Amino acid sequence: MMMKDLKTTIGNVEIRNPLILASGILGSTYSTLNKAFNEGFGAVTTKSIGIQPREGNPNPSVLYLPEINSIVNAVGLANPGCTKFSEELQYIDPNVKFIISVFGSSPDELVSVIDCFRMQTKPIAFELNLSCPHAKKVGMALGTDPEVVEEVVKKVKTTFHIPIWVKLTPNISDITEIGEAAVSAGADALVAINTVKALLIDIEVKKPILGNIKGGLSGKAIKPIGLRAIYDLFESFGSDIPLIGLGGISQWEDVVEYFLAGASAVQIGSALHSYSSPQVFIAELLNGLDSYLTRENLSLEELRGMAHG
Amino acid sequence: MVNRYDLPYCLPISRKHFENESTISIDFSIPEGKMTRVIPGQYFMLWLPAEDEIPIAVSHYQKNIMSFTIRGVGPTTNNFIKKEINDLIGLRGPYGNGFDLKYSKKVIVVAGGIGIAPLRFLIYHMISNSSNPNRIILIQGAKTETELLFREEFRKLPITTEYCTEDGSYGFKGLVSEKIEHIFSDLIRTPSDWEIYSCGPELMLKSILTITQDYNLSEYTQFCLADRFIRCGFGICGSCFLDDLGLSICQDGPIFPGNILAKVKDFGKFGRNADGSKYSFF
Repeated sequence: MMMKDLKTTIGNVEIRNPLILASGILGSTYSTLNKAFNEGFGAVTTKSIGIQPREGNPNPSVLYLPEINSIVNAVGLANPGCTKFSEELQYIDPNVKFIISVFGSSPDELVSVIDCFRMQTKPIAFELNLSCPHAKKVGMALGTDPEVVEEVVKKVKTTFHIPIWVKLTPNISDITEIGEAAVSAGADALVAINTVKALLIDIEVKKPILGNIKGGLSGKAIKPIGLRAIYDLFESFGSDIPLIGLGGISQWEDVVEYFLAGASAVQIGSALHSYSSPQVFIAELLNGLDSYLTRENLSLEELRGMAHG
Repeated sequence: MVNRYDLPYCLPISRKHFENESTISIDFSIPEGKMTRVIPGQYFMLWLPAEDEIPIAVSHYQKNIMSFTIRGVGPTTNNFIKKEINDLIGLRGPYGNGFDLKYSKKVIVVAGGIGIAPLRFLIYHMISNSSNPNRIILIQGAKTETELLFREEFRKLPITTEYCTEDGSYGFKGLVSEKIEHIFSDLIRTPSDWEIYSCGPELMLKSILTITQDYNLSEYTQFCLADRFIRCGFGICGSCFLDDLGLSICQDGPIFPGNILAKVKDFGKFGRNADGSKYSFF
C-alpha cells in the first residue's frame, strides 16, 4: 500500500516526515545526528550549544523512572561550546536536515552563538532554548519573562535571516503569554514543551538523588502537559504559526493527539530509551500515523487542530 | 529477581579490602528478592551520595555478594576509597552488553592495570559455567608489581598466568602487547581455536587489536572500553558515543568485538570530555 505523503512544512522549511529528534537526546555528535536521521527522523536537533564549553552537572544526571516510563535529568546544558561544536558539524552528512539548539545568558550572547555557525552546512533552523529548567542564569531564566523573550527573539531575528524556532517552558502559569512575545518578535515556530521541574529523593540516604539536586521530567508522564500547551498555543494563534509539539510521545496515537491539539510537527526524545535504535520506533510511528490518516481519509494538514471548535 | 536497578539502589558496604594502597574491593550483600543477573563485562553506575556517580565494572559476583574493584585515580574514586563498611553506596544497573561468552574455545584473557576487574569476574564465570573447562591463559600487566591485582587468588584457580610489569619488578619486563606477541607466535598455530578477552588502557587495547589482526583473530577478540565518561548508562544522553559508527559505549558497549572496533575511528585516538569535546589520547 502506498504510504500517505507525510511531508511536513514548518514555515518555509520542508521535511520528509513530521518526526523530529528532540534536543538533548543523542544529538551531541555528528555521528549520532547522522545515524538518527538515516534511521528515519524527518529532522534531528543538536544538543543545546552555548558560547563556552560547559561540563554540566555532576552525576547522577539522567535517571529513568520505569513505573511512569519517564526520565528525570539535570545534565545542565553540558556542551563543548559553539566553536568546537561548529567543527563537529563539519562532518554532518550534507543530506541530513538538522536544527541547531542554542542557549545563552543574553540576547548578544545568543547572537554570538548563532554567528559561530555561519559558515556551516546550513541547519534548517535554530531552536532557541529559552526553557532549560536546571541550568543557572540561562535557559528558563530567559524564557519566563515575556519582555526578555521578545527582546531576545527580536535581536536574533533582526541579525540573521534564518528560521528561528523558540522552545518554551511549561514551568509558567500561562505559556501563551511567552508564545505571543516570541511570535510578535518574529519567531518562525514555537516548540513546546521543555521538561517539567522535578525532584527525586532517596529514602535510605534521605537526600536528593540528582547531582544538581533539582531537574526536569520528560517522557510519558508529561504528555498531557505538552498536549495542553499545544492546545493553548493553537487557541491563541490558530494555524498561522507552526507549532512543534513534544512531551511524552511514545506511540503513534500520541503523534495524532498532538496534531489534533494543533501541532504541525512533533519531537521525540525520552521514548528512545526503550529502543536500541530509533529505526524500529520511527517506523512504528510513521506506519501508525499513515494507517490512521488513510482510515480517516485525512491529510496531516487537515488533522492539525481538529480537536478545536 | 529484578531486571535492573533504574534508580540508585542504596546498600551498605559489607566488606572493604585494600588490594594495594590505592585500590580497594568493596562488597555488597544483595537482599533476596533484589538479586539481579549480571553478565561479566557489565557495569553499575555507583553513586557516592551528594557527590558523583561513576561507571564501575562488577569484579566478582557469587551467590548474593557483588564486588567492585576501584582504583583511586581522581577525586571521586579517591572518595570511594575513603568509604568504610556500612557506608551507603547507590547501585544503578547493570548496564552495558557484557562479554559474549561462547565457551567453545581456548581462552586468552589480557588485562592491563585496573582492567583486570571485569576480567576477574569473567574468569570465575568461565570456570564455574563451563562443563568442560577451557584452557584459560591470563596475561596480566601493570606498571609495577604492587599493581598486579588478585595474584594470590588466581594461584588457586585452574588457569595459566603470565605477568608483565613495565619496570620489571615482577614477571616479564615489558608491555602485555609484547608478551602477547611471544605467546601468539609460540602457541597459536590454529588461531581460530582461541578467543581473546581484554580490558585495560585504550592504547593497550589498540595495540592488541593490531596484533590480533595480524593473526586474523580480530573477530574472536572482545575488548572492554573502560576509561570513558558515561552519564546515563542507557544510550540516550549522547555523552559516550564513538565516531563515526555512532555506537554508545554505555549501552552498545562497553564490550566490542575487534572487527567492529577496527572500524571505529575514535578507538585508541579520541575520547570525549564531560562537555562533549574530544580529547586526544596522545
